Amino acid sequence: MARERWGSKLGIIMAVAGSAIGLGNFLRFPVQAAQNGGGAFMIPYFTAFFLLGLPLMWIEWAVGRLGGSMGHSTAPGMFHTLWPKNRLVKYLGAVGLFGPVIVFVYYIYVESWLLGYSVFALLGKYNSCTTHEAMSGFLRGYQGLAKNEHFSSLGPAVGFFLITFGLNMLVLYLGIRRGIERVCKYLLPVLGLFAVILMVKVLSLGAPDPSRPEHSVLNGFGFLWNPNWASLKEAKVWLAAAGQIFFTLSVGFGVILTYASYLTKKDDVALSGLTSAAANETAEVILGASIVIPAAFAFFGPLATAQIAQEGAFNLAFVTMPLVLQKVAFGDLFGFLWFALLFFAGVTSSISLAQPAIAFLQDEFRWPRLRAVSVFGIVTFVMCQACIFLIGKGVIDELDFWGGTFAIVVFATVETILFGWAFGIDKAWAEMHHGAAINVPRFYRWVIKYVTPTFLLTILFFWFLQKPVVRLIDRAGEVGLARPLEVLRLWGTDLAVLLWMKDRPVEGLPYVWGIRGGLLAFFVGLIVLIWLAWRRKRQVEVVA
Amino acid sequence: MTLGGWIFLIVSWSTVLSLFAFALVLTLRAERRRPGAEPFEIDEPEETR
Repeated sequence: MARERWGSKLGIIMAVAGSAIGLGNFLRFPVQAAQNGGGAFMIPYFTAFFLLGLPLMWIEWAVGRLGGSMGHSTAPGMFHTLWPKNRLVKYLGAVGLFGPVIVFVYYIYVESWLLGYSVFALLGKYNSCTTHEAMSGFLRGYQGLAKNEHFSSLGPAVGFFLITFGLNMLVLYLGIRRGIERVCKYLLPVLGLFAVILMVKVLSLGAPDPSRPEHSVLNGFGFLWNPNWASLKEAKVWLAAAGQIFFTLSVGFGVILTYASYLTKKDDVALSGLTSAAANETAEVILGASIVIPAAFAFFGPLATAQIAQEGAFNLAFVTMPLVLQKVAFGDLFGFLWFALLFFAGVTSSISLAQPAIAFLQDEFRWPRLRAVSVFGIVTFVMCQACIFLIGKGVIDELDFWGGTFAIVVFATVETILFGWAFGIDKAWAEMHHGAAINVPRFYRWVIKYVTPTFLLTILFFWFLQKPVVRLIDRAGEVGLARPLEVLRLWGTDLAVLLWMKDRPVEGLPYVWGIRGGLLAFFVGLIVLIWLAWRRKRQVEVVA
Repeated sequence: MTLGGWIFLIVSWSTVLSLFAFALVLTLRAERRRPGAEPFEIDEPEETR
């Protein structure tokens, strides 16, 4: 079976940039910046970009191309290539299949809301909602959380989901060159154009309410960019910046590994990695920061904007922005541009999230593309039903935590250590520079080997292990080290409380545990698939 | 917006823009230099697996 290839270098750069440019650029970044020190946030942000994001980008491009040259498009085979003597390392690659599939499951449902809302904007369907409460009610009605004058059933949400899901499957079935590359080549420039139009519109708003001249776009930019120097002393601000870089560049998902695996051995990865990362940063820091927060500030003022930022990305996209855009001339058209922009950003990201699992079935089981896409489609379609029908029970939060946060940090840590240590920094450096159009500054050898893994382990500790470790130290202090069993018993109780997530509503807990059980079963299923794939290979080798 | 805000905005925007422009120009030049290559065309696969 001939291996698929990209049709052009521009194609893969746009596909990787398309994967990276998603909802986070326009919704998550401005909120993070506004909440974590404004302009001062950019110091930890750029530090994380150069010490964490860019090295991870290069690592994933290099590992992906190396794996592709050995016939592997996904992490299990690539990890095996990096450390062939270790028979178990390929199973760690299951994390690189688990994360993108789980994120795909809820991401595509949210993506379908964007398609729905872009149609609603053109039809003026939410124009009667002129307050925050009314627009929230419209969203709840659409999600099936309430019956109101706008929606009496989940029908519209299911309809738009089916269209979005079908479109994604069609692009995936068409393959790398005819599907993913073509879609990214057309959608990314359109997305950029829509973002520029919206940015210009926001910049031209001035102070829309003459009686409140202080509520202006310029002061909105000040809300986002005025530095709060004291924030730099807070560890959480540095972690937030590292987290934002992580999410925005799509590193740690295994997506870039798969995309880069369709390069030929002599193609450059160093410059391509830099170009795609820089394209994402431009979209985020310039376009992403110039739409939502300044517009919200101009219409609602500082206190309401701070409150809006606290409410998170969904409310910003589906409640605040429709309210803002209703107040401008040609509001329906700008509302459509806003939701279409996010929908296009979503499509280029969701197809990238699906590709690793499909490539795994194609490469490791020698399945034709139609069969691989069909099986992937059926499995994820069934999984999506939990997001559609159990929304409001904490399902999306749970999927986002395990697939979109925990899995990507673990995966990035593993791949960085494997590349810099198991594969060896000398070979790793040579691999990065094979066919390279630029020389990566030499100090990045040191960064990739020491700084990036340390950075990742620090994030891993603070995000997931800090509370358990602090509890263990506290318990040891209370009980005393002379009674270790008692310390462990009390610590076990603490861990159970932490895992139970007491902050979640009690009525949602059975669903949360159901989802966790399902996720565990899915992960175990992936491990079994990897075992079957390697067993099949051994059998083929024996026959040959 | 304070002077500090303007400084951060200008420095941040110029950093990402110059990085993107630098990378894009080098990508275009590298593609043009490749002997016998059409702009942005990647070679056909040398082998099938």
